Amino acid sequence: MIVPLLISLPFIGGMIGYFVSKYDNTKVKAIALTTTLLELFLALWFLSELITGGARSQTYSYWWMKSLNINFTFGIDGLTVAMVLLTGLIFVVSVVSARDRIKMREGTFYALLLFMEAGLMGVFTSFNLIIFYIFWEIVLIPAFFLVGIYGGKNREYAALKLFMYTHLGSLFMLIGILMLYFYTGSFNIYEISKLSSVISPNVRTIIFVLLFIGFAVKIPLVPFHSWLPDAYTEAPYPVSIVLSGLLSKMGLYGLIRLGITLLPLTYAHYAEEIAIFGLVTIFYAAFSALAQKDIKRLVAFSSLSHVGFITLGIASLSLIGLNGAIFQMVSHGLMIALLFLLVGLLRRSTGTSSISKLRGFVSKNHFVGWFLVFASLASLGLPGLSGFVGEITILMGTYETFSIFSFIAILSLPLTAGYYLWMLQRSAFGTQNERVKRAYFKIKGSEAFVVVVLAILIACLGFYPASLMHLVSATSQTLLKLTGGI
Amino acid sequence: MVLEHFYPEIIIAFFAFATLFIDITLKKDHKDFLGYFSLAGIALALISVIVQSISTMASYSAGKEVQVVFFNGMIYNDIFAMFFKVVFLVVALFVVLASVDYTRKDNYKGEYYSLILFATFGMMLVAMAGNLILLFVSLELASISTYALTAFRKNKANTEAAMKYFIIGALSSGIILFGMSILYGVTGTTNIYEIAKIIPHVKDSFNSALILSVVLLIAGFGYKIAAFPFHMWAPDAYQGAPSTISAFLAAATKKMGFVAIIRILVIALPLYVSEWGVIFGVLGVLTMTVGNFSALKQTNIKRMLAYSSIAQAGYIIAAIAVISSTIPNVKYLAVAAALLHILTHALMKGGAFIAVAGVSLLGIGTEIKNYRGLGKRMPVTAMALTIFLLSLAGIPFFAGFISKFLILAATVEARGIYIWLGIFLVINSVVSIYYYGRVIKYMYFEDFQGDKLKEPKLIATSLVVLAFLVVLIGIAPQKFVHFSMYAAASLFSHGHGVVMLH
Repeated sequence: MIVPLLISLPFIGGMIGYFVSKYDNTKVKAIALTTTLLELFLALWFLSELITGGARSQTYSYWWMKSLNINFTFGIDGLTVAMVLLTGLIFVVSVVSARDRIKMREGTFYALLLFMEAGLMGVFTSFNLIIFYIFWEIVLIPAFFLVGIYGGKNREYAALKLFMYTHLGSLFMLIGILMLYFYTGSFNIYEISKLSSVISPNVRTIIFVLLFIGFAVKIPLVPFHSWLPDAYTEAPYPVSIVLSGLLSKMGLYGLIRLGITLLPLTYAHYAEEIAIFGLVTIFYAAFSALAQKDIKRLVAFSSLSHVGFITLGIASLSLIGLNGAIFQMVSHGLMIALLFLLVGLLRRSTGTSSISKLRGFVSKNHFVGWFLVFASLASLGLPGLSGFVGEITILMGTYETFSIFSFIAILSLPLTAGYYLWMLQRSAFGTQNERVKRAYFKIKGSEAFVVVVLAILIACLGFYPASLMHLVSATSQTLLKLTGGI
Repeated sequence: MVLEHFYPEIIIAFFAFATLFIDITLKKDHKDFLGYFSLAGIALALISVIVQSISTMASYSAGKEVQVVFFNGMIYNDIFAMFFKVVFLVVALFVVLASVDYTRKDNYKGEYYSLILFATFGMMLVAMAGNLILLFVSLELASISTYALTAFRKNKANTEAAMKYFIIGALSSGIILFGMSILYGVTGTTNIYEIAKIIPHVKDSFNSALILSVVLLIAGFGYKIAAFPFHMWAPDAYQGAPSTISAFLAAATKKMGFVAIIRILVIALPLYVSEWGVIFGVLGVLTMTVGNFSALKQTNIKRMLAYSSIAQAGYIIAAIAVISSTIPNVKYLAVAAALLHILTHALMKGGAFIAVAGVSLLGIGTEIKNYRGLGKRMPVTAMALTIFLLSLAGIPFFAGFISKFLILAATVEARGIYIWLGIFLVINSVVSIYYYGRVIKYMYFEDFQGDKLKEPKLIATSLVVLAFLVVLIGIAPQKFVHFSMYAAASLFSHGHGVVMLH
């Protein structure tokens, strides 16, 4: 059985790496990389298991706390597989990008990073609410330490803020989960889904709001976002990749898996409000990105803006919108990882990530320069790349249910294009300034390889989106049937 | 034979006296032997309690009747009592193990270890007492031993702490005795289970006397468990006492108050259930809130841990308040949750204070800012302390999460007004992350240049084992939850078999 292996492998790898680093500090990188590669291989195996087992979802159970009727339940469906694959890939990127960046206490760093991978795999595969909640919280601990120990100047503040903010949200979610248990007598997602319509609508609303707070803090949606700029910018680049690429996905995944599956009718009832949250986030983040002077912060806010888009797609409750949202979750993970990776390389070579100090870096180093341009274009939604497919499908889906919101969301596209192009115009091209002239670019083979692979994946998904769409479509249909949408 | 049911108590009492006698014969350089000697006694007693509780649980599940009531109702040796005995003995075990390192340079070791054993003996009797007189006498045995232990080093801080602790402790004992005497006056018996039978038939004119007695009992035991507004002595006493004794006070002695409260209020005064339910609900919320918000501004780690211990007592009190719920089976869950939190809190808080003891042994102060860079200087201690703090904050896969989760589950299942207890618990948990996280921040996040220190071996050993237990309960809680559920069920069965819930 593959899921326990998927969760325990990074954990074991992290432990081995930590203890080996006590004696030989040079091997820990290789161990971490091997573990993440094996994990990616396992994720691919996971995919094959879904394909051979048909598109229907499968579950496996093990007892954990019998007195309270809690067991480990793991399942497979299209959404799970998409997220597991993304997780496997992003952690390879993160470990590769950490090779030259993390110089102190490497054993601890890679151990924490791998523990986080284990937690994320648990979140994306659990079908029991308590186990889901536990993994959800477990992810937070390594994140807290990774930001707090290896972060920038303001790291202690950022780490504590990240911890307290998201923990508060999670605890409200826990109350919601417990209320669901006492009204339905089960922690199993599928069982609750069948029974939840018995609960009176008022109680369902309370439960839904409690759950939603947990997701909204994690996604994050404006106005629950204030931990985000601190955490994303203070974190070291390898961790920023994980935070923006995967931590936000936890919230979105929760919104789809728990929000729609557990309380489909309540979700359908409040879809419009959720869409408004998404819209506000899109515009707030886009305007904030426009005002940033630092590329890393700009990327952070652009990530927030994308996440708002995805929320809009999830709220649309149409097949094409939900498919688009899941597609964009994967695509956003790839794009944001590529962006942070390249900005990290730029920062390492020039010593700065301030837009005004980076004038002319494309002519200094073509590789980093042009791929950064490529990633920016992908992120602003250039046709032919994956970002475009995601956005256009979300907009089409939203048009089916909330046509006005769709028009409003379109207005944000020029803004997105605006801040990326303006950033490129101010920094990438033109005559090199002093700092860039003095810079010394040294890109490792492994880093270049990862950059190229990510770029190819983005392009492939852009040209042939059906590959991923097929995978998730069955799941989306099942989910929408619950809400009475199809 | 009756005595075979009391091997743990006999062992502890024997070792307590033997320690005193051996102390006379030993030369000054060899006194560390006393530590290992009492350690052996506690370990023996612990093993026999565990064997006893496993066999008792097994006979219950096989449907066999087990003798629980001894000496004409003086002693109720049920699973509830065994659960607490396990808690007390585990704490005593680790405190003694850490004390061998901690008191290496001190005098009066014979008295130190025998007092710990006597205190443990007293607490074990409190756990079993079915009679108010026995309960009070053993409460005093345990309390007086700990007053002396607090002043063990006879320096200014110790003496001041012991004085405060003694005065408040003696006062509260007086209040408890007063409450008990009124209860006796109204019902005419000192047996807790007899009182439960008589109370429904008490004349209405005695009601005011009964209420007075309930209030006095709550106030008296409120001092013992350091509930708001009777909590002021705790930070002073824990700060001034030797750190291993702080561990003993916070992790074990305080829990003794909870046994007595649960036995007397739940068993003897069930008719007044709704009234003390409200009182405890309010007390619980105030205790956790005051504890947490006072802990926020502490700069001394022992005071911070003391206030955190007050806050944790608030969670347990909230769980006890839920017992008054009328929804069937919730009271079992509530007692089980309270018991499990008592166990996990004993492990976490005991561990945290032992870690502080280890740090202060190496000459590092007890101010939180002194802990800067501890992650590099004392990696084992810092890692264990981090686990204890995260567990206290209620993070999953640590013991504290499981017990807090059960308390939250009990409040939510009780529905109605009880759910507010759960919401306060949640908000308080988040507040607490700030001050626990701050210690971790100092240990790991701040840069510090300093030599790696040699960690005291026995303290490090006890920390590693405690941290392992904390993680074990977090990952595989089934056995422990089961034990606490059985203990809860045996409490309500009044000594006649056990009703298991499913």
